[in-house]
Amino acid sequence: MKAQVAVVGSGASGVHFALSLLRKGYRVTMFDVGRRGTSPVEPQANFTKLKEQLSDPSAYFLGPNYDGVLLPDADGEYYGIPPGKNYIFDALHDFNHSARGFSPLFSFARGGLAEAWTGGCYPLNDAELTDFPFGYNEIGSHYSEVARRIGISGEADDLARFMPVHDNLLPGLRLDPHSKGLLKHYSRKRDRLNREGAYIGRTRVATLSEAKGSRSACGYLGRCLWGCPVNALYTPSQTLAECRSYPDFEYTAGMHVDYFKVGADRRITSIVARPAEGGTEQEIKVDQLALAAGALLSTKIFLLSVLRATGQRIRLGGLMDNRQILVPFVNLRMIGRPYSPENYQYHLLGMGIETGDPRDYVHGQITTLKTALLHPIIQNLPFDLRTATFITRSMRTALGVVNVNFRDTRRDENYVTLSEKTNGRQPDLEISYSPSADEPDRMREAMKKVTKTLRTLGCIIPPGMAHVRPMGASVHYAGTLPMSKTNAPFTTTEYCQSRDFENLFLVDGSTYPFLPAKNITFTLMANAVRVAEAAF
Amino acid sequence: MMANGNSLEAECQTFARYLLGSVPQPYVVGKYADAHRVSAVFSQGTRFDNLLVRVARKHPVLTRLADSHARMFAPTGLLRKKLVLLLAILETSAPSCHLIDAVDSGGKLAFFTRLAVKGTAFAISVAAGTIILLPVQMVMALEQRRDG
Repeated sequence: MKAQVAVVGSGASGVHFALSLLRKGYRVTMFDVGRRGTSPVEPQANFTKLKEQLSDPSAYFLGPNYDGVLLPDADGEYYGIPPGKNYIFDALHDFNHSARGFSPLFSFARGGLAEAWTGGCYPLNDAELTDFPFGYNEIGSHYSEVARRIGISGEADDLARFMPVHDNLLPGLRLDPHSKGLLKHYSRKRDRLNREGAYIGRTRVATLSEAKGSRSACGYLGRCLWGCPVNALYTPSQTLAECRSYPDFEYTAGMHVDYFKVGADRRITSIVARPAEGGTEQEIKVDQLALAAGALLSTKIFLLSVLRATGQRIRLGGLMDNRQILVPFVNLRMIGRPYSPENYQYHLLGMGIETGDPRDYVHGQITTLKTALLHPIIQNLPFDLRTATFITRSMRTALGVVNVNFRDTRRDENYVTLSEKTNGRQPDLEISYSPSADEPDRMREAMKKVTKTLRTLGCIIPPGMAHVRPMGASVHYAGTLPMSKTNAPFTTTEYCQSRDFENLFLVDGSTYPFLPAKNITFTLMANAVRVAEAAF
Repeated sequence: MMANGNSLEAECQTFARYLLGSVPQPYVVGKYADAHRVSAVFSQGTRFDNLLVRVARKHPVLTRLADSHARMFAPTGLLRKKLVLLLAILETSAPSCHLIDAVDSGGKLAFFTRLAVKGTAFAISVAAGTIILLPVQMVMALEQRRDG
């Protein structure tokens, strides 16, 4: 029997790391707070039918306390987290943090933050991996393995110049009429747009276009945001369920790991955890430890462990996140077209914006409006609500939004540390972030191209409605304990092994030395598999 | 501003007639009142907010006048919050959701014609609101500042 590995966290990284180890014969114990949501209701009903069939539909969509109503002071967002997914972001009663220039989200849910993701799966290319101690050749097969495990639909099209094509790609999902129209129009204007560095193609999404095992293919019910009722949209809790079918896997839910203890030889001897809802802490011996709680929560465990072991309150620089701008658009060709709730709700198209440096690539996810709650949009139009409702009703099928993502780099001034004061039993997590000096220029240049591309496709951007999201909103946190070829404190080896504690591995975003403008979840999973395969 | 069950029901009826031109189902009225019970957000406002709600609940025409004014000069005030709440309830329950999902007939030309008419009506409503309500809003804001 091989050694025991303790994994903290059941998010995208943790479950794929654990599954790879289990397949290699390791014993794995996973520690997790593991909050759970409710089962999906009426699994065959589409978005509109739900409103007709549920006995209390407003409670389902808006929540029993009406938290799902986005009121006029809701910071310009066009949609909110549905009440049924609030459990994903529910705080722990004694977990405190303070942040400057950053609005972090934390998750203590079973499956982590990716329980609420939109499924974008974009492999990094060699240019984006320049700062990583490995290239695409070394991670490509792991992308393919993750694609085999979770099911990714997409096409090898114009966006392949920015995203390598790995194996096990399923056919693309059915396009809605608006997305189909945009793609058709792009094909006519392709040469012109490409000359200007703009490319459109299908996004790659972790949603099944074909049935896979016990999971059904996408039923086009328009309910992605509220939780896929047929498990066609992948979430990490599905892989957790697979891990739990192994006899050598132990899942310890309801435990919050605070810190680890270190012996004289720089080896971790145990972790200290306590019941998430309060209670006495427990010390649990570990052979090897993998932190996969998400970059910020893993960093807090690391910081607190160093503080406990050495009395040093260290500061870890290099925190990164993707800046995002939401760009609503109106496709004039689609005005007045009828609306159907029977469509895939999330993004089906992507926009690649080339810049002079391939590392500065800008990625946009194009979501055409299908099913959605409309009151956040209606209230933002510059009219009274009756007129705005009329406009939205007629233009609904013509509306869309591009979520434009920007890369980030590690900078020392963006850091995570622990507070001097302890509030209760622990110091608070302190986060500080300020954007790079060149960010406004990069955003301006990219936005010019995004605007021009949309115009070329026959769309207009209503003035003043682009929304720059605060840092932290993309929830792509990374960079506090980076992989590095250089042996230095508070870094990890190329296999994410800590240089400070010999039997510690960090298998989440904390080890990213660079954050490209792409959703990081797919790379998190592939990297976790890579580490499990190579270092164990 | 606390309202009792009957006045909330009347308020909901008036606001629904303004928003969708139809009488709300008892379910909608019940949810609207329930939201006011569970969340103080829909009851707290400045003196001007409360005045605007009192004006708006008298008749759908006045709701439009008050809402047009609020869109320009009090976009996060109490009236907008109440109207957005009702809109959210209407769009999440049948049969009112079908009124929001339905597309008006006539194609693009009809849409732009209707838009021009409705846009003009909005502009007139804002102008009227500015003449009638803006001075009141300013006076009340000054009084509130003076009273600390």
